[in-house]
Amino acid sequence: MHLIIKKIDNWISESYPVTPGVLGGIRIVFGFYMLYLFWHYGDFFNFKWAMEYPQRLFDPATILSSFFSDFPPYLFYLSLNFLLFSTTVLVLIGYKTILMSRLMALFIIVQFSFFYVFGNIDNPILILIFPFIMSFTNWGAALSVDAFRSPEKMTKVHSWPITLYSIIVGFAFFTSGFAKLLAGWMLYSIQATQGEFLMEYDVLERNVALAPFFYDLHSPLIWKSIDWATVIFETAFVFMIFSPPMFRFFTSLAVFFHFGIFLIIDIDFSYHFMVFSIFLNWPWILSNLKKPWINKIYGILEKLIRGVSLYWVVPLFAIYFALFYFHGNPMKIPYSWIGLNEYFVNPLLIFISATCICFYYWGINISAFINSKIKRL
Amino acid sequence: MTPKQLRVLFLIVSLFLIGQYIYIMQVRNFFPAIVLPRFGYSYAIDNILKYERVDMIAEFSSGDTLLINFHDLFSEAFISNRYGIIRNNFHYKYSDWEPQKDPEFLEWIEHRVESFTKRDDCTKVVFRWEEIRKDLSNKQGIKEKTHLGDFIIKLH
Repeated sequence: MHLIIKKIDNWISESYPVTPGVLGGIRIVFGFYMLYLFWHYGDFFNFKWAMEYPQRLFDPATILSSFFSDFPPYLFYLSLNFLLFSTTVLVLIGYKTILMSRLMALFIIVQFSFFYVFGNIDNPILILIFPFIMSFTNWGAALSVDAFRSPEKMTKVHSWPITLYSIIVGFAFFTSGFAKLLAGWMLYSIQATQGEFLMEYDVLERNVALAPFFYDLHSPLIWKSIDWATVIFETAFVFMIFSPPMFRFFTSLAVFFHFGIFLIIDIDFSYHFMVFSIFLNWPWILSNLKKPWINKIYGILEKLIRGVSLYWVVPLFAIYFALFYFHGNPMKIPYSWIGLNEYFVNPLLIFISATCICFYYWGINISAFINSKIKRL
Repeated sequence: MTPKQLRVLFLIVSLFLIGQYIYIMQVRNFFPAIVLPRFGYSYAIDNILKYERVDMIAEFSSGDTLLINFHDLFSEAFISNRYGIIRNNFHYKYSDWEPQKDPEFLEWIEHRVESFTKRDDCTKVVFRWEEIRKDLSNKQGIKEKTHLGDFIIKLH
């Protein structure tokens, strides 16, 4: 019994090794990623579109929005956005990191609870709870204003929240796969993926990238294999949580899986990659990279954070925010100049980056494995 | 946190995840609405024609034809982005919708659907609206949920 408890404790606390530097880096990337989301999905966060609908469609399913009987005034959304944006910037620079992370999670969940008042609850929940869970790791322990102000308080970091996150991610995949299983995706008489794909192609006109090729693909064997692979992969995910290497392997598969969905059905799940990235063994990856290069980046980030001053952050922030809401999303202007579709190009770049990281990670894993075998010989 | 506290926390979170999942499955009858079997393109068309479930037919100069079945529209409202009628999914909530008690909303839907029949490239519309109204008012509530392909299909 004692041995089992010890194993459980080890699994909870040591499955995903972290260092203050790695967590600081994750926090900064997350901060920038959220700013990117505000830009990329600017119209979503704007909420002006919600005003067009009649009160009859207001059907909040969540506790917070149940306090309202109709769409709140636009000023409410605007204030919420302002608070969310502010806390994101503060999390990015690491100012009162733990408190700001939790506030950010609160604002983003309130924000999305209003986004879902039509009754349809969508997928991004994994990224919405990210700042809340990561706040327990003490991810402001390095590369943050907090760390520079009182370094003695900011030394200890925890990895158990990442293990907890792995349960949530594994379970989320399981719910998706299990629903498909119950709905008959494994039955040979049903072409589930093909039906979904054709609906997306014809009705919603999602016909970019590889879609035209798959539109003409009529092999029941291939389509059925995709049905089976999807269900097996998604339902098996939850059982991998007890083995961190296998869980990492499955998150890498999830990257390829979502990349495939993006190329074939044009559904963008790239926001999951921020979550998947924390399961990688970053201390080990960084030890395999050239140290001077890493130290240089670390030094630059440190300098930038130390140089943070309200005198330039606040005006910059105010200008961006004002432009965003009163003029339209300023970041979209270059895309319209070049004539690119940012809803395709941006996720594509993220997908390619995530795929490269996966290939690199498994590349160094395999080479380390081969090296150890050679050494034994 | 101590190891014991962490063990308890992990147990609580796991139980919560399982509990809320069972709740969603059982109480909100979530499953069929999330992932319904997609029977494929030709099956959907056959199904619509077989059961005469087409409530509206719109033909466009491009040669496309849009078929809509309104019964399911209310259970899983979702109309093509291309025609820009309804922007979002209004899943789940109309499974027990009683149109006869809600004429105002019915009118709103009616107006939105009619809007694309005014498009320049729409060459022909068969709109069985009065029949639909009558049919809807005879129903106690729309319990049935079928997949999207059943009510909106673009024919080539």
